[in-house]
Amino acid sequence: MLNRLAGNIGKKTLSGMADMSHASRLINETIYWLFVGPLKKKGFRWASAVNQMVLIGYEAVPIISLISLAVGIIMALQAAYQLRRFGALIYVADLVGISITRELGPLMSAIVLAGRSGSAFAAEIGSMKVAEEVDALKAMGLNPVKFLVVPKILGIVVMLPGLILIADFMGIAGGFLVAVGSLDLNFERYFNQTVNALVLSDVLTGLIKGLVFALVIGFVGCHEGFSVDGGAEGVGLRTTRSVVTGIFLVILADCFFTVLFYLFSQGV
Amino acid sequence: MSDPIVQIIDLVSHYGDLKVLDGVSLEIPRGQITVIAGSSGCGKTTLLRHMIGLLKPKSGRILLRGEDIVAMSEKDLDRIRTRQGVLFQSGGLLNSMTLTDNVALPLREHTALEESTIQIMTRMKLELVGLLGFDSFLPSQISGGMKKRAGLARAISMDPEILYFDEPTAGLDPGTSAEMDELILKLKKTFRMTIVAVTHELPSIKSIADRVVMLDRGQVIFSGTLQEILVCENPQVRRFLDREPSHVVYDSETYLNAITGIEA
Repeated sequence: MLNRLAGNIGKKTLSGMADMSHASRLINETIYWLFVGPLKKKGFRWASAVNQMVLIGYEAVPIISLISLAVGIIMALQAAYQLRRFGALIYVADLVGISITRELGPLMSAIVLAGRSGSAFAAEIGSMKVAEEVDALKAMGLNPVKFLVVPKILGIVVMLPGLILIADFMGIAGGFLVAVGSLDLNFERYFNQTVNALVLSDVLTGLIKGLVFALVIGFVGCHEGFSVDGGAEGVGLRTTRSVVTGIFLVILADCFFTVLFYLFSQGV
Repeated sequence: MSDPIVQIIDLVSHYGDLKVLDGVSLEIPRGQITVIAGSSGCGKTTLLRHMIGLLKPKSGRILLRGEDIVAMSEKDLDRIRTRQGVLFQSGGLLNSMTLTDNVALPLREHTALEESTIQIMTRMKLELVGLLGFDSFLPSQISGGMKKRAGLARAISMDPEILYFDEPTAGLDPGTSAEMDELILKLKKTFRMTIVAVTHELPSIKSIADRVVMLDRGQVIFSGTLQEILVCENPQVRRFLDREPSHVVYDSETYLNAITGIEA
């Protein structure tokens, strides 16, 4: 019985390592086709990249705005619940502003994008793999990473920071709605309080995290797509995994960065 | 045979633990149609995928014009792939692109030709397969037979020396199958292409093949001309040609063990 347990651990480890080696090869090739390929005159699929930017970014604006608005409202109300006791309601502005720009704006946007775009990448590439389209590309001497992955990665990395800024704005607007609407705060006071509380590094750390989140979601989605095996069921399995793994890794990265930025701010 | 374009030497390949190709050796002569036949599961599609460079074998060599493609890097393989065309079973069209964009894709990526020239060449290839006028259709808007023909147009868009077919007439009605066979013969005659077709459809084999290689469970059981295989005495070959179902005869004890799940 112990033998079987050891065998299982061994099998899982080996397959996990194979998975990671595929993923790192994917990242390697993507970097090649993003930077080295175009310089060597091997071409770049601009039209496809722009198309991806529209799909990933532009079409996500409504949902990101609404979600961020809702999150801003939630934060403001939860904060007010406690701060009211100390007669410190004006600090709702600080709390909403800082938590949205540093944390919730980037995180919520990344989670929405993992669900929208991460799964779309996996489903698209996975379906193409099942329909022999990826094989057809290879058989024609065309590199699937250049064709399929690079435009998507560029699209998501360019668009996510923009979406985060929109999320930041809408989140603070949500807080403002609550503050002026139900907490009876004055607009000018709320606005000034927010502006005074926020420092550039709050927004910047959010954007830097966003860049990393974009890379994580993009690569996880594409990697799962290429790993699809076995028809429609395989596509479904990998699409689900891309969302779950994407969100999991995003939150891990968030944890890492939060600790890092905190230590920096303490002057380590 | 003088100067074969492809030589396969002792190819051994596995899917996981299952041995799919067991020491396969054969030669593809230039300018002729070679059919790789066999019943389902004999390894013919796997063999084709090795020949196109999509799979690497456990051991063995594949010499294309004298160069061993098994040892080649992806970069070198890509250089070779511009001189070959492949028609996959489902057509292999990119579903997000129109027929014109599909057929023009190799030209746009591998050549520095003017767009107007590419358009003309694309229309020529579409006309050759009988799809002129369907330029701006998406693959989802055309029938299965038309998809195969569009895939063929794309496969020949770079005027390749060697053309590979994976089950060219699978899923086609008899009339359309005959049209596809005729198209394949036309390609060989007009363009002097070397053609390798994997198929198990007898009428097709009889109308297009110059040479036939038959596989069974990963091994070559026959290699010769069409005339030779039609008179071949080998029982496995005869069973394939005469459309005889195979009967597995169990003795009563083996049968009993098999159905009750008792391991003998």
